Amino acid sequence: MKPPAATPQAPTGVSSTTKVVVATTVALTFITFWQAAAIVLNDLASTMYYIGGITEQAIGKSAPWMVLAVMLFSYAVRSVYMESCSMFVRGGVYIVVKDSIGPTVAKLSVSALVVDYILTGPISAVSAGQYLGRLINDIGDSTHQAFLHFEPNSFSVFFSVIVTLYFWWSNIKGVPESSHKALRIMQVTTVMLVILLVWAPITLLFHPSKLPPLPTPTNLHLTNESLGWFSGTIFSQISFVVILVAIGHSLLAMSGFETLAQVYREVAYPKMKNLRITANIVCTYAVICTGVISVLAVMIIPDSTRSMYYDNMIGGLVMNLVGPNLLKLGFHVFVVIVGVLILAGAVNTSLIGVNGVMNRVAEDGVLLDWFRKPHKKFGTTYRILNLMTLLQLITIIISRGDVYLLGEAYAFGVVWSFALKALGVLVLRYQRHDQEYKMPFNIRLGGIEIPIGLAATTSILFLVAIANLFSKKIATTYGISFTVVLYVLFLISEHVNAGKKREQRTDLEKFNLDHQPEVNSQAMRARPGCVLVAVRDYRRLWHLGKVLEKTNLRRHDIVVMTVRHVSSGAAEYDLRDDQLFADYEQELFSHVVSMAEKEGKSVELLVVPAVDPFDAMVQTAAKLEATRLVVGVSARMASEELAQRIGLAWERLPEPRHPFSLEITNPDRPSTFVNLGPHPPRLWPEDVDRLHKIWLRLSELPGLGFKIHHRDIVGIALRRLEKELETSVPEELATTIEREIHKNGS
Amino acid sequence: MPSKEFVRVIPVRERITPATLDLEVIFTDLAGTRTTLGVAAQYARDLGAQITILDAQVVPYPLPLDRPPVAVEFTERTLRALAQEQTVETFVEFYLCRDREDTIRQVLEPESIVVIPGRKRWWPTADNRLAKLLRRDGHRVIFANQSFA
Repeated sequence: MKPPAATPQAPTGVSSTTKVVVATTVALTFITFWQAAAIVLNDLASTMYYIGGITEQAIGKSAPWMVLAVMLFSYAVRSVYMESCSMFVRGGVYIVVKDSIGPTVAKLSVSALVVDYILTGPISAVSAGQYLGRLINDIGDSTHQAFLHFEPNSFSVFFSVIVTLYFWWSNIKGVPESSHKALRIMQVTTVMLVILLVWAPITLLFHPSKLPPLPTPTNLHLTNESLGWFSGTIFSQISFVVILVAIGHSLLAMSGFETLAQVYREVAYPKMKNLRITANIVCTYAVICTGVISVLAVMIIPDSTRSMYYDNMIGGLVMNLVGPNLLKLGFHVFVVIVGVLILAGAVNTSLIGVNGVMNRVAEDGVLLDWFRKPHKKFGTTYRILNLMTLLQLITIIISRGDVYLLGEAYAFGVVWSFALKALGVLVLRYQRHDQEYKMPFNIRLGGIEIPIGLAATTSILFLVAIANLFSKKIATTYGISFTVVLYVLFLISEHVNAGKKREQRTDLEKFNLDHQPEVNSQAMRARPGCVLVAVRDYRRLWHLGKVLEKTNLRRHDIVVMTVRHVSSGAAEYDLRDDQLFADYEQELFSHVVSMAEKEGKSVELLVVPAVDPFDAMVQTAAKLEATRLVVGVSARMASEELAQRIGLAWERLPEPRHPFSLEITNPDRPSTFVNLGPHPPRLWPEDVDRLHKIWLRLSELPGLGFKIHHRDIVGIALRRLEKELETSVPEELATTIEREIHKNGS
Repeated sequence: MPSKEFVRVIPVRERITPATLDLEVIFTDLAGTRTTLGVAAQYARDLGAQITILDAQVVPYPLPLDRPPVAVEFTERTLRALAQEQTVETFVEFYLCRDREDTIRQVLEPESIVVIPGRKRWWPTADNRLAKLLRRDGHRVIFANQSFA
């Protein structure tokens, strides 16, 4: 359909004095699943360095099977996180629990998460110190140098304090490392793992060994310490309880999954598919690096000496491989370098993470602004960093370098934040119905969905968390004390902040506004051929959804524009920034960004002030050399009228006019496409037949033959119609055309 | 097409008549950048050039990209003050990113003149690596102490 002709006139929509606003935000950087997996694994895979020793001390020689079982269970936890991410693009445990269960439990869950972060630092640093200290001792023994000998626990405390202080200072200064380092660290770790996975089976060929005993209740040797308050009670005789306690001692192998929720926002399109791949890479890698290596360590390190290696199990594994001592020592050095890299990275991540979580809750008014006061010189939230570092240092010193002790305490935060997250996702099954992904194993009974998989996972996590409460005295005492202190702190802060008027909405995106005198493709970073989507009502954005779903960003960029209506008088003057980009535009673009993030595609945002929105749309499309302008069906006018008004606006563009197509999208019907400007018409089939018959008849005329083409006939017909338009009565012609339109049913 | 990053263009003053030559000074730290700007300004005045301070600030995981460890307002204030100290037209471009090198490479105009504060070292440093990448991209790179001292 071609819009009716109109007399071309000067553009009137956009005043020459008003500016356009290019809005940018952070939501538009996306990473591959490899990068995402590397970031998660930097946190999750670091546990392989200490989990084997901790679990064996707690439950005996069957421990590796339990670790392997927990790593396999991580696939279920992966599904919980995927379901959560499918609802909350930016949802960590705090957001999910707050939305599903309420702010009180959310404060508890975030307290547990903070405990998790506080303990991640010390356990990682102390473990790295143990590996390094024991390596130095091995080198000292091999080279017979007496001065190269340290008491491992004291050395690890000293090393941990130095490492923690180093990262505290770098965080105070706000000098972060490049995120690409995560990928490099994982590449080096993978090299180490591959060597181990080749060398260890060769060792087993030379020195065959039995698999560790299966984790049956009779094989699980829980000490009084690992049974905690269950010791001496009837519960310690119940197999089910014993297995739960054993799982509880192994569950911290999964710590670090929360990072999956943090990176989801930046995972590229197709987002959910890529998240699934990311999560599968993470789980498979964790099964191999944490589960399989733990099994190999127990098989290769002799029972008589294994207790010496509880704090550096991988070091022990390396030193018991077959081969020349020098080669083993060299590989041991490599293993320790990788360990120090990955564990020190975890110390840094713990400080960054806890700082981020505390800042996030502060934005919700749950933490006093006093904590967020920026450092005078560096601008960082030094009070939070100081407090958290102090807690980490106290923990390190109290632990006296005992990894087992730290592991016990660490489990509290890990298991409760998992359990509360899973509960939140389960509750949301009955509160929301927009889950793009659902954890498998769901049945319907009487129209009600029963999420068996999700409920079973949540139940297991809660049972383990409760078993931990009674079996891990240290974890319970430490964890509850910290959680209560933090919870009270949050409550008091919330009470104090309630008195203050909080004007800023935290759910809205923050935009940076670049005021430009006119629309230009360079400022927009949109290539010619882009798709321009016009939006105005954030409740009616289905057309944007369709564009996001279908557009291949390699071929076309997406520009989302909104027209800021100004009166013709106002257009004579410059508008203030807050008039151009008011609260409504902020809310509208927040919804746009949220949809784009969910799809994993980037969009460019533009506000154009104009008297006439149709003029503004077509002028913008022309200046950006868009191939398509997409609008939603209007609530106030029919699609035909909308197309006509946009078409008329196109006719008012100065020559040469850039042609593009208009797509009017309806949520319930297929889109209507209209070509703006001169374009070959799509003829009705009977008209094509008629044209062909005329051509056949004319080509039989002498002298014409096959010289005449179909286009010549159309040309003659059009010129005749044009002539008729000038000479005949317009009403008669209009009646004829109207009859034609009705006949074709358009 | 570069991937989009979080950009803050801080208008210290309006770019009314853009100079033909632009010196892009990479922000490293406050003291180093301030020293470099002093000499770069002298150089820019002689050439009728303008200066753009380019600050690509890395936001580490697991922080969201819009929640950098250093408050955005603080960085803006610092950079604005730094630009206002200069006697030649000076602008600031401030980016929050995950990777500094990638971001700087994405935002530089082709064949830019880039000034990196500090000295070229014979051993591998982050600045040496950045300089190498920028030269490979076709930019002219100057280490401030090397060129202006």
